[in-house]
Amino acid sequence: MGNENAEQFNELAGLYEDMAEWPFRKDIEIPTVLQTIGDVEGLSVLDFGCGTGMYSRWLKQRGAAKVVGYDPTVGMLNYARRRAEKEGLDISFVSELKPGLRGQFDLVLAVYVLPYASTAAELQAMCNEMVGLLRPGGRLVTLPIHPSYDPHANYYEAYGFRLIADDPEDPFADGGGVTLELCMSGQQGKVAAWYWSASSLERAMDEAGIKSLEWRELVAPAYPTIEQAPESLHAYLQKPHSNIIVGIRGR
Amino acid sequence: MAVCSVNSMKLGDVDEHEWDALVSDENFYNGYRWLKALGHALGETDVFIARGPAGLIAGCAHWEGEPSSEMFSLSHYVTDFAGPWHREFLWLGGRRNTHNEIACIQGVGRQDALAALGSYAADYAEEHGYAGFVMPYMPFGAAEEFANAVGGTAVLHSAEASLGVPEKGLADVLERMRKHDRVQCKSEISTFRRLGGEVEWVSLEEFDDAVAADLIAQNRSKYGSTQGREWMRRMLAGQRRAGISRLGKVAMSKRGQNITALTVFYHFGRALYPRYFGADYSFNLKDFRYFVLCYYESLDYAAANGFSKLRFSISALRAKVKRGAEIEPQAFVIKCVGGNDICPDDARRHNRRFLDRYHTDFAGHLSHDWNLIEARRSPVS
Ligand SMILES: C[S@@+](CC[C@H](N)C(=O)[O-])C[C@H]1O[C@@H](n2cnc3c(N)ncnc32)[C@H](O)[C@@H]1O
Repeated sequence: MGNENAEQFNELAGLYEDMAEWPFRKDIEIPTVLQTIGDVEGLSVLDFGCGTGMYSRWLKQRGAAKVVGYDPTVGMLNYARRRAEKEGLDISFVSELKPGLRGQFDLVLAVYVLPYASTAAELQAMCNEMVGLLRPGGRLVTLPIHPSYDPHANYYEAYGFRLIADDPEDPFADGGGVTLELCMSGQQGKVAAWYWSASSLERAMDEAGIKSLEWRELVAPAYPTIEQAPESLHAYLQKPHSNIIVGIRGR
Repeated sequence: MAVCSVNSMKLGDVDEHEWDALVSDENFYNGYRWLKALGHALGETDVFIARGPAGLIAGCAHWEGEPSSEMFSLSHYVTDFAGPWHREFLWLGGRRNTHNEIACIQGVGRQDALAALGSYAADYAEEHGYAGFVMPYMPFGAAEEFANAVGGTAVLHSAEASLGVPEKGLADVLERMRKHDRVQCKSEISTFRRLGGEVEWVSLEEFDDAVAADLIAQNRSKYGSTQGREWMRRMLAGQRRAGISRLGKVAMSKRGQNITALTVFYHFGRALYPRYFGADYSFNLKDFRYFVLCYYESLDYAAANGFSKLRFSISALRAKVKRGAEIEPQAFVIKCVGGNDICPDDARRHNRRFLDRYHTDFAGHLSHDWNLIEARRSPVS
C-alpha cells in the first residue's frame, strides 16, 4: 500500500529530527501527545510511521516494556536504528509488519501518518493496519491534518512550514492533495500529503474496528490558557494544523 | 532533487545522526562511529559530503591508501589486464575497510547524489596530484551503481562471507548442511566441550582492553601481521572514545577461570559483525575454539537476539562456506582523471574470469549478486 508516498521521506530524516525542537512541536504537539498517552510503564507499544524514532525513544525511556518502530522508508529507519543503538535503547525498528505482530500491542501511536494515505482505499488500509496491531481493548493515538486547519498558505510560516492545498478554491475537499513545505532556517523539504475530513476519518476508524473514538485538541500544556502561552504560539494554538484521535479497539 | 553543495571536511564537523541516516545495517564500517574510532586511532578522518535542500544526502571517507599492503594495492588486485595499477590513487571508504558502500540516500535523488559526490572526488583527486580515485571492497551491485553514476569502472577483486540467521540458529544451519559437513561441525562442538570449554558473553564496554588486545595480537602475529598488541590497544581505545564499544560484545571461551580465546562482535541494526578473533596460544588445545566462537555460538546468539545476518569478513572463505556461509562478490570502483581510463572490455573479461573461478571453487554457495556479473557477460568475449 501507498509506500510510494513514504519514499519522499528518504532524505528528510535529519530535518524531521530537528523539527522536534521547533516550537510548535516542542511546546505544543509533543507535550500534548505525551499527556494524552499517559503512563506507558510496562506497555507494549508500536510507533507506526515512526520516522526517526523520536517518539519510540521517548516511550522506551519512560518505561514501555516493548517498543517496535515501524516505517517503510529506509532513510528514516536507518536514522532510527543508528540513534537508538547509540543511546543503548532496546527498540526494534522494522520496515515491514510481519503477521506475528498482529494483536500484540497495548498502544499504537501514529503521528502524522494518516495524511500520507492518498486514496480512500489507502486510508482504510492504513487504519486497518494500525488497528490490527492492537490487542482488543488496546488504544490508538493518531494525528491527522486538522479537519479545520487554516487554509491560508502562509498561516503556519512562522512555525517553520507552509500547508498549501493543491486546489486553493477547495482546501477542504475530502482526499484533496496538500503540499507541506518545510521552511525553517534555510533548510527546505517538500512533502505531498492528503486532507481527510473528520467524517472520512471516523468512518475509516469505525470500519477498522475502533470503538469510542474521541478527538482532542493540541494545547500548550505548560500554560493553562492560550493567553498565558508565549505570544509567538498564539496563532498556532488558535488554529493548529493537526489534532489527535484517540480510539479503543473493540473486542 | 537538487544537489546544493559538495565539500571535503573533517568527519568531526558533520552531524553524526544525519550521517548515520545514510548508513544501512550492511555498512557498519562506514558508520559514523566506526570512522570516528579509526580517526582516533590512526589520524583524523576526512570525508566528502553532498548536501541537498533538506540536509546531507551522501558522504564517504577518503584516505591516501597503503601501497605496501597487498590488501590495499591495485597491482595486487589485478594481474590479468593492463591498467594504471602502479599509479597513486585517492582511496575512498574508511581507512583499511574491507567493506565499503557510499553513505547515500535511497530513492529518487540517489543517482544524482552519487554522481555529484563522485565528480567532486575526481576533481579533488586531480587537484591533489592523484591519478584518480579508487573505492575498494564494494558489494558488486553497489560498485556497479557507483561506477555508472561517475563514469568509472567496477572491477572484481575480492569476496566476503555472510550467513543469514535462521530462526533456530545453529540447529537450522546444521540441518541444511551436507551430511559430511554436519558430522564434522558436531564433532568440533563436542570436542570443545569435552576439553572443558565453555562460552560466556560479556559487553565489550566492560571488557578489559589489555586482555582483548593481547589475545587478538597473538592471533594476528600467528598469521603474519605486524600490528601488535599496542596497535590493537590503540584501536580499542579509539573505539571506546568514539562510543562504538557500546555496540560491542565479546564471546569468550573459558576453561575454568582462564580465557582461552575470544571474538569481538558488533551489533548494527539487524546485522551482527564478528570482527576480531584472539586466542591465548599458551593453551595448546585442538579444541576448535575459533569455529565455536565465530560460527556455532554466534549463530545461536544471533538467533536469540533477533539478528537476521552474520557479516563475516573477506578471509578464510573456504572454512566459512563449509559452515554454511554464502559468498558475496566485491569490486573496486576506479575513476581515472585525465583520460587514462580502463578498457571496459578488459574489465568485463576480467570480471567474467573472476566469476568463473568462484563458480568452480564455491559452486552452490554464491549469493544473488553474482548473477549481476553473469548478466554483464559481454557478447564478444
Ligand atoms: C511526517 S513523518 C512523521 C514521523 C514520526 N511519526 C514523527 O512524529 O516524527 C511521516 C512518516 O510516515 C511514514 N509513512 C508514510 N507512508 C506510510 C505508510 N503507508 N505506512 C506507514 N508509514 C508511512 C514516512 O516514512 C514518514 O517517516
